Amino acid sequence: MRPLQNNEKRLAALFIFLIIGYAHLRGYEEWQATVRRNTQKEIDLVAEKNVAAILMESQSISTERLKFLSEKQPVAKEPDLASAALIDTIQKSADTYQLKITDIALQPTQSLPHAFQTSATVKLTGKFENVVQWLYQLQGPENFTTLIRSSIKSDPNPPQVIAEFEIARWYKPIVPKP
Amino acid sequence: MICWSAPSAQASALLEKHLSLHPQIQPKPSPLFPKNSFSLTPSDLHLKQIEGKKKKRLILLSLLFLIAYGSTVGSYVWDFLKKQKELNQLEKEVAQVRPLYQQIRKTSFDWDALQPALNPDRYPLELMMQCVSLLPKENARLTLFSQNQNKIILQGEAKSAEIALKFTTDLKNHPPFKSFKWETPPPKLLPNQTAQFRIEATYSYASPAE
Repeated sequence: MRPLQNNEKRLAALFIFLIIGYAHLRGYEEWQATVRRNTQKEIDLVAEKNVAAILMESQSISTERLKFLSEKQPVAKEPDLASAALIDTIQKSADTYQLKITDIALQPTQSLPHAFQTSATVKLTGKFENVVQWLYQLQGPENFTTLIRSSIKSDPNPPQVIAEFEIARWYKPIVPKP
Repeated sequence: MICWSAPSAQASALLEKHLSLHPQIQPKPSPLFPKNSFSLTPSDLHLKQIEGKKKKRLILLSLLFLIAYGSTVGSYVWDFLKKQKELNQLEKEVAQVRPLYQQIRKTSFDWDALQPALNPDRYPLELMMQCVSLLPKENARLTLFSQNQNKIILQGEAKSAEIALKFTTDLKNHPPFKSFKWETPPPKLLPNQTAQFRIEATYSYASPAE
């Protein structure tokens, strides 16, 4: 191989310089992108740490709540039958308070983040006092029963009322099997 | 004039005549080296030496450049690695508390969402009883109480508009209803001179799930 001439040497040096320059440019861009990613990650982590610190202050109350929920919230052992069980409860308790159910219908069950919901709509008539007592025994912090919708209308024959409710029971959320 | 050998008679005569110099004959002294020596280098060697110096200088400059470049890049890399280490440490700390705080947050969300079932103050029955407690014992009655998750509708009749308006004002000022936003249109007068009222209230802090 013949030795390189001066102009060829210069060209080779320029070529190498350009390659090194290009590599530096790409490297710098990549490095900048990594720094930006890391900065964003640091901001997110610091924010997360601060949120965690605030939330950790309520750890004891959260533990109490979790304990209450795990002990008291009912479990739908057979989700398909949970709605029927709710209807049964409503009918039996309405009978106890001499309320006349004119219409009752199951509603589709729903998996909510906080609960597995079974619900039913019920239309009934009876004395206002009896309706109040019935609702009083139906709800309660440990029954996990709520009225999604309720309407109590005065009947032309007081003290009778026409009441319509959508009653829901919130069971423990059903965790999908993996 | 000192001479190391005797000059010829003709030369001595000429020196005396033209330059007035009298030759003195002395033995040849041993050579003396000058105090400041100098050298005369051959040109090809001199050129090689210059080239060598240039090469040395170039190597030195390259070395300096490499040291400067290396220390600049090195300091950046050092700083980057230091920050990366801190970031990893932070990530580790957050990862340790993450399951716990996520559990706390989930419990808080669940608790808020379960409030309509857990908090008696939010029971429709309780709300209705609070409304009824403010209703005058005579001259007014409720004809409809309707609740839909975070909204309450009350409808009723009063003997006069004044009674209806007083009931409305009492509702708004009643402490358990402070967290509700009220819509109270003026009561409607019926042909039998009774005032029919309809009031709507929306719970201000309803969670998105409600």
